[in-house]
Amino acid sequence: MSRARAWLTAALAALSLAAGTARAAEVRVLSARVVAPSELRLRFSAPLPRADAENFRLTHAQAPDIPIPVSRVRLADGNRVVLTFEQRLMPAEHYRLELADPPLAHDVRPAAWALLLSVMIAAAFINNFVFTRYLGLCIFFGVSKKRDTAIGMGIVFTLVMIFTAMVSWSLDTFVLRPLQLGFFQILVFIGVVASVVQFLDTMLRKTHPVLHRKWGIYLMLITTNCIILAVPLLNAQASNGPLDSLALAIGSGAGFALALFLMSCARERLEYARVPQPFQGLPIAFALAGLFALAFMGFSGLDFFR
Amino acid sequence: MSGTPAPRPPFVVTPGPHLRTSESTAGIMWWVNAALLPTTAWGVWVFGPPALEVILGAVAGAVGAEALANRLMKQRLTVKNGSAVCTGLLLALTLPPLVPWWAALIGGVFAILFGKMIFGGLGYNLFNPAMIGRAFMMASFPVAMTIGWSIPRAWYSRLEAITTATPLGVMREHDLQAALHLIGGPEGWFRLLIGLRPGSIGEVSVVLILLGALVLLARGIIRLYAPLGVFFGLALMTSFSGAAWLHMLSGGVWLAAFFMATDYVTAPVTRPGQLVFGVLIGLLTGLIRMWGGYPEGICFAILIANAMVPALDLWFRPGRVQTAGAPS
Repeated sequence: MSRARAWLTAALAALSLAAGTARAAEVRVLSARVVAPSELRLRFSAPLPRADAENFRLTHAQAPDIPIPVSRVRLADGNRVVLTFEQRLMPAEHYRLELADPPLAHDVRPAAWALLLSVMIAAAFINNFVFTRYLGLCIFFGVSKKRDTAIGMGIVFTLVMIFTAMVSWSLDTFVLRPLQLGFFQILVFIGVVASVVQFLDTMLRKTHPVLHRKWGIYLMLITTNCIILAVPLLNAQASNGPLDSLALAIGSGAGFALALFLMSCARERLEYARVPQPFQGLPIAFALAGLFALAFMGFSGLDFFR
Repeated sequence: MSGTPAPRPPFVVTPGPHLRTSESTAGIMWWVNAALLPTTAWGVWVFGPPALEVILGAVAGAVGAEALANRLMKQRLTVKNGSAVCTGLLLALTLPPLVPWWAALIGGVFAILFGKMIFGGLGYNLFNPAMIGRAFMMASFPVAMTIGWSIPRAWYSRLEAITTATPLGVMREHDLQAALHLIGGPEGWFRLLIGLRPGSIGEVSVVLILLGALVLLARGIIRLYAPLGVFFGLALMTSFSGAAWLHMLSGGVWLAAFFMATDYVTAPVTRPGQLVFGVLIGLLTGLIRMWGGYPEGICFAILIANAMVPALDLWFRPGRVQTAGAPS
């Protein structure tokens, strides 16, 4: 009796051990990262049975029929594999890795938060709407004379920007595209901006009169701003998802607020400068904005996935 | 008694406080120019007559533009205070040696006219005029500004010049190994110190820049807050790249830290402000070098930090001027 029991436990233990090793032998991709210029660094959960170049097939997500030739496979400890390819890989893009043995498929792409952050930084610094695309100049020059008004404008502008971008995105995705009314985009987005601003104005006046007295004046100015219209249009053109649209809106709003703040500080200092008669007022402001643009050229080509 | 003039009163009666100093703007500017002389002379010796042409072109452009602007604005001639010479010289020292002299001249003219005189002259400009000139040249003559580098002492081998790339440019295009090969292996740090490497005219010799900076420090003309900030910021940014010492010793960091980040007009007034300003320059330089679109980012880093200076002056005010309520 006791012997039979011992056999049973031994058999059970062996079975579970076998199951355990079987589970350990099941290979999964733990992490995959593209390192410029042409490396793919992989980490597996178990040793690979085959590590020759024919075992791996990497394709770009947009060209699934064209495999990218592997030039070298290097094994490292900790079940790490480094693949080197014959052409450049872009760390920010989306690839698909397939293994022949064991049969596996894995999507290689950067983390979503990293992409969103890069969209935001690009909109705020690299493609700053004021200094690199020269949009939204009327508000930029009109409101940047004093720092207090510039800060107020920057905050209200960013909030309105986020609101309109989200409303425009949902209208575009759920109404215009399904009905194939893409050519109405500009008209619809202008309507969205105007009504959102009017709605905010009315609501603010009734619910927060103090806030409205302080910042209500900026709302009306924003109605006719071109950045507010450009962001929904850019989102629609690039078919951005909701998070990408939100990131672009936050980034461009913050970039405009930053430009406005820096410009207002500089212009307050210029009050004491002996600017020559012909350049006083707007001309020196334009020259100053040009010099700001020259400085912001330093951000061009910034790429955090390098 | 009618023919003799009234005697000059022996005392001048004015309200206090009374400050007396022998320092003047002109005195300080000429000291700065003198402190730049060693590295300028080294640049001419290393890169030959093309470098001298660039220096003369930039200085002539700057001085000519200042005189012209004085005339147009019906001001006293301010050329003699040495600030235009200083701007032209600093601009030339940050240029590649094989840039055409007329490009340097145009850069000098733009630097003075749009970097300084349009704001009313010395003391009112927001951006460092020399760096405005260089950024303008980067935008206008991108090819000449990217390929105009020469191998040290090439001119003396009876060749006009041998073009090459800077260590930072090589590191950006290839890797650290290639950059080390360019400066002659891991012992190349010695060449970086004395200045036998490809680079801008006045940025190559760390030792001679330090010599000039020591003179200015001894005279009390510059303070160490901003330069230390620059080095700290850049070290912080590049310490993870594995090539921190190459980043610290090459490029225009030393020239910029001691001669541009310490500019009275375009740097913050208070010491904490200057420190933050320097750290900002260092961080931005590392950012542009490692992830940006240019191999060397110090020029743009200074301009961006200059753009922040009015805000920094508001955040870091001298104690007695501080008013109630938090600055925004």
